[in-house]
Amino acid sequence: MVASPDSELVERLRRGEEAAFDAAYARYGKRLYGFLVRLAGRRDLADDLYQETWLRLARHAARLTPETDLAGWLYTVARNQYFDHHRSATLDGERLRETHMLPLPQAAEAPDDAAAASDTRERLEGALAALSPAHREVLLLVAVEGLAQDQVAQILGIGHDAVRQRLSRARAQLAERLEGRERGARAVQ
Amino acid sequence: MDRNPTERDQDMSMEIDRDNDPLLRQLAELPAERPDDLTYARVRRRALAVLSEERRRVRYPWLRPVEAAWHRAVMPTLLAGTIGVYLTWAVQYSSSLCQ
Repeated sequence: MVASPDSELVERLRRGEEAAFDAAYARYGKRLYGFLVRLAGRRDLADDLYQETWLRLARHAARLTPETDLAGWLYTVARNQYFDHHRSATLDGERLRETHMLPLPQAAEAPDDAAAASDTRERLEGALAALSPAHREVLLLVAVEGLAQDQVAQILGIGHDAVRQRLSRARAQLAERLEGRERGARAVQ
Repeated sequence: MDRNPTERDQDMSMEIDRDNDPLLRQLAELPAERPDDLTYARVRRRALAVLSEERRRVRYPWLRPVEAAWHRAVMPTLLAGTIGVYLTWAVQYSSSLCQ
């Protein structure tokens, strides 16, 4: 079995070494935060999920196995945290909408709003944020975080072929939304 | 199922290549979102405290059941007992005021 690149770090984490935790935090902390911000779409939520992910590592460090892929472990916990939150928030939203306490989701933004987002990067961020969480996360993991598709398959708990298919669909959705935004921006100009 | 090399090669060529796909490359070039310094430091501090606590529990494994017993049985009993004593006194005192 091929040792993971962080195998020495994992071994030290299993022993509860603070320096090892600091090294892991320095290596993956900021990247993980960036992933969570774009996945969650909100900094305040990303802050909570980020904290909970690192607290989990601190609690479970002694129970890591020597073969643990640390990056995969962290991203798995982070995305699971998000989806747990998303599920309960969706149920709460549905309940609130049923009792008329929450307005219905807004329709696609008007051309005036699209005009404000003329910058290519802003349009890309907007198109990414508009994707479903499942599509957004696979694009973030592969394209933004640069993880291998095998690793992404482990994180998402799906097969390699399923990752490829999901990535393909996500990419197509993103291209479609981006095209819609660019058309809107051109129409206003 | 073991696939033959030709099928595996075709699969590999269907891999979406981040470096050769312009849209994925654009995503890769998005600016990094970073936590502010306070959040970064706060999370690190709290996680290290938890790590230290867990290390203590691993070193002294008998601590875990003692802490569990304290939080689940002793503290609730003490709290319920204190509330019971107070309520008994309060009822007796207010009864004596009415006499």
